[in-house]
Amino acid sequence: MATNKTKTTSLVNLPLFALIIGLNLLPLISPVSAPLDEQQAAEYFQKNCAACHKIGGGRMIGPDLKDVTSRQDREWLIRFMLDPQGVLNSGDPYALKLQKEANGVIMYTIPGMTREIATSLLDYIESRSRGEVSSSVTDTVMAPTIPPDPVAGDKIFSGLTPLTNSAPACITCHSGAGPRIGGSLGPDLSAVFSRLNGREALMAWLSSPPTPTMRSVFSQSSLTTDEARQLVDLFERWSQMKQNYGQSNFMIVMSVLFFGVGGVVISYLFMAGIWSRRFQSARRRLINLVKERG
Amino acid sequence: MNVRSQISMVFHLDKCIGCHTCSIACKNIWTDRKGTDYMWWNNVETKPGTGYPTSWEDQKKYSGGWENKKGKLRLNATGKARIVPNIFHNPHLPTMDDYYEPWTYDYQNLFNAPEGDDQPTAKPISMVTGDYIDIEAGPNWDDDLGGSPVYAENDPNLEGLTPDQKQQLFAVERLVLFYLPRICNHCLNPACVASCPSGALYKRGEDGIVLVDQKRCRGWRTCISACPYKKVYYNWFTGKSEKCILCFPRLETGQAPACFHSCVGRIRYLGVILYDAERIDEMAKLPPEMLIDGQREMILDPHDPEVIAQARKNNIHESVIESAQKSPVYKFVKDWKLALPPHIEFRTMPMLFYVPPMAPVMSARENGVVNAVSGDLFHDIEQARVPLKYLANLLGAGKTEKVAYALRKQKAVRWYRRAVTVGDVSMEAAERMLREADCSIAEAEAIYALTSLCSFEDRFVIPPMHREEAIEAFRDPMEQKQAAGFGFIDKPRRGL
Repeated sequence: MATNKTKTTSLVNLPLFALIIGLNLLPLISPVSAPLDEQQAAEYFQKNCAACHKIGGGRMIGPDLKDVTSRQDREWLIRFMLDPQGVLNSGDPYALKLQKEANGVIMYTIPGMTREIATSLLDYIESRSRGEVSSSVTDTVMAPTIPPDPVAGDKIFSGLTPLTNSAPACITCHSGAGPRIGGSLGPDLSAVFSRLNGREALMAWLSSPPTPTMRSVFSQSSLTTDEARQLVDLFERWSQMKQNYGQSNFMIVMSVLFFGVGGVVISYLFMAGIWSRRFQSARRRLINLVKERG
Repeated sequence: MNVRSQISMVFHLDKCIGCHTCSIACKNIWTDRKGTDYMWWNNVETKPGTGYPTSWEDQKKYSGGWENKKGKLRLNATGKARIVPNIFHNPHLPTMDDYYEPWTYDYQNLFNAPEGDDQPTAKPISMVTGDYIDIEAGPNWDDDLGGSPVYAENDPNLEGLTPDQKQQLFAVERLVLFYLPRICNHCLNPACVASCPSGALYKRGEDGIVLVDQKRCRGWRTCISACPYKKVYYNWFTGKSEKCILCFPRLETGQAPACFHSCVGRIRYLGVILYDAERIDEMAKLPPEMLIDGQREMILDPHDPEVIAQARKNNIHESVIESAQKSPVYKFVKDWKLALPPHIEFRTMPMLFYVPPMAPVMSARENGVVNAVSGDLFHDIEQARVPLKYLANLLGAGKTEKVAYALRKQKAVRWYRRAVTVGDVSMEAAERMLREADCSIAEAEAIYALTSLCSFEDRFVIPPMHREEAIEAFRDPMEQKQAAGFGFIDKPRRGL
């Protein structure tokens, strides 16, 4: 355990170190299409892939990439990285299988991805697969001591608490469980907790949202760790609510039906009662009287 | 005092023979149009009977007329607040069955029927649906006590009669009936006018005729439920209500209304009366037993100089005042107190009065001599075949005094005239009867003259309508006279 922790700490510092060097070397680096060295690949992975993938340590939204090169042919992987939607559309059975495993979530096309970058990333993944567990942001934020706070999350979602880095509130584009009716640009987030594979994966997702729309907004003004955590708390609450919510919805519909239809019937009967003699023919009544008398 | 003039009517029920000539005269002039086929602005009912529409007198069913609610007159059928929840559903209307489904006959079948073993018949066809129907009711279905167990026995006027009296009324050999011709009463306090949400009904200022403005009528039909006499009818073709117009186009040209003019029994009288419009509200609120006196009080003496002065002040024409002084209606209602309003307890102050029927003759022949002189001369009025209570329900707001008074006076006049012309009754007895009936010999002669010897001019004292004055307001009367009958329905336009 102790050794493990030490190693993790050193690894956390590694990208930071690499970043400083990388920045210093920036003017000397050739255009992006050039192959990346290991530092750059690590950075690139952290920025673009870690939201959904880990290298060792289990799947998040996307599959664990440990030993991915031994599971699938390298050329196929590059093709997939360049155009995941295209490969999927071609009806590739392996891609379909991946989509199914990811609860239908499709990998996003990463802007600026080239064959060279993809090759470098695979090299990086290969080397990491031989090495240690991926260091993901989740390790630091999953502090178990903080109690869940879905109320705060709810405020963030609805925009009552403005986001620290002044990103627009979730409700601008998303709607959620219960009466939360928001924008329809993004998907409904009622079941996002189970759809995106739970807490850890969601935290990773929210730390750097990978979809093109969200990326363009949140790359400039990302969520703070606390905000992300509170939102995940909210999503978790929704996922627990979901069953009950569905049931109560059914009850509402049934009671509306019962009291609505029943009420109409009762009020009609009531009206028929008080007005029963309105259009009764006087003559017909007399004839009936005589008939009754015989 | 706010003196107004009203063309008013008296029907002498003792003279009505129930021939329906009046109904046919009216029908041929006014209600043979499409949509009016079921209407009888004038109809003749047999009493006892439920009339047309069935049980029209039963306001528990139809909620017509007014009631005095805590010192305020209130319509039974509707009101400003009550009309809102009923805006799409006017309650208390008679159904088509209560009038009757109008029908004609398939006459063509008489000519076109294929050859067969039997005579072809003209089957009845509904004028509403066009289908063959079985006729179950008509406007005078219970005529002459037809269908008594259904109709006559359920007459609302039988209320308050003892079972014994009821039994007598329908017992063989005691069976009795009389006729009740009915038109619009042109009431002083018309419920139909008050009920109309569109303000389409109005009472003409100059002669009190109640009319429906066909342009303003929106077919709410509140007038039909509000009128306790059910004398407003809904034209199902035009979607507007219509009613008796007292043949005002005839009156305006000096002719009696068609039903009056055609009356075979000469039972109908028409004339102007002057009344005090200020007291309508006060009199209509009186307790039922005082209503008849109240209405009589409201009717003013046209010879009273004060009344004449007030009438002039109200722009009532001199000729109308003169006409009111000669009015047979004033004599019957006010001088002689013979004529009574029908169901004044409905509080509409009807301006059509009925002289209660004497029939049947209340005497017996013994050994070839009519035996009428007895210790109690009026014994037989109380014991009449038509129970007094029945007539009181119809004409006396439930109280027998006024009806008994009118019957006694009529009987006294009869016996007086019998003493004069036949002589089988002693004049002494006749004069005693007159005295007891509150009648002088001169009055008896006048009643006799107006009842039996009346000419057209005596019965119908129609005031000049002075149409020229009305026309003058809009165009030159001479031009109107010269151009009458000529004109355009659609005016041609100049040019192309």
